[in-house]
Amino acid sequence: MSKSIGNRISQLRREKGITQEDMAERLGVTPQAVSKWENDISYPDILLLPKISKLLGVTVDELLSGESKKDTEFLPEGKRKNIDDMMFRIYVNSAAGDKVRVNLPMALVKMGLEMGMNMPQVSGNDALKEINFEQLIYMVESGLIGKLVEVESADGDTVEIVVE
Amino acid sequence: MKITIQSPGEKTIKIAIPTRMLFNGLTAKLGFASIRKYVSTEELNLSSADLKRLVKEIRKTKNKYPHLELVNVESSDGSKIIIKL
Repeated sequence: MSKSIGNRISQLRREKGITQEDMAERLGVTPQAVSKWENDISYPDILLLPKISKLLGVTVDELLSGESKKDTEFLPEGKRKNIDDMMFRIYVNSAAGDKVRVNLPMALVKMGLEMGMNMPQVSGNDALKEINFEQLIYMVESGLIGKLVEVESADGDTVEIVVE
Repeated sequence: MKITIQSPGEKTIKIAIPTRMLFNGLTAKLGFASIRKYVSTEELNLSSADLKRLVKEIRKTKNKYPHLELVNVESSDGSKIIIKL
């Protein structure tokens, strides 16, 4: 039998080392309310779900379904989206604490690459220089989606490329 | 297109530029001339037709994903730059 949302909240809260009181305080509810959710006596308000999921470090979808989103997924031909409807996301987190998020529709990325543009010119990060973007496009066209690249440089910068 | 610049302790700057004004045939030509002036063909072999195609695709993207957040930069000192289509 699958776990209830209450079980999941309880488990994730314990994993994070948060007490019911802490959680209640951060969400602006009473500790009794949190206890009721965890014991499946009541459910959290729908408007609280984004806050709860953020606090527990999961997505709302994962919180509700209990299924963690796979980092990378291979989709069979029938389930694939048109590549032009996909989004190419670059996440750069520098060791100094700077964050860069770039969201580009795949159609634009494809066109840019056809024209000979390089991604470091778009994101401004040298860690992307060694990445073969044409190969990435080929992988996406073959049905691979999700987190396709995760690079950590020697100075602690991390770069992730996600296709959704 | 909207550009928002936030710095801690300073007023937020918001710049709104009509996308059509920013991406059209004329700006594509001007952009192409600037690229040719400052970037060699070895570095970026871009033709005027390519740039026009890119402008067209950007406008199509704008219709498909209105207010798409293209870039979001958050520095460690709390400054933010957000570019929305």
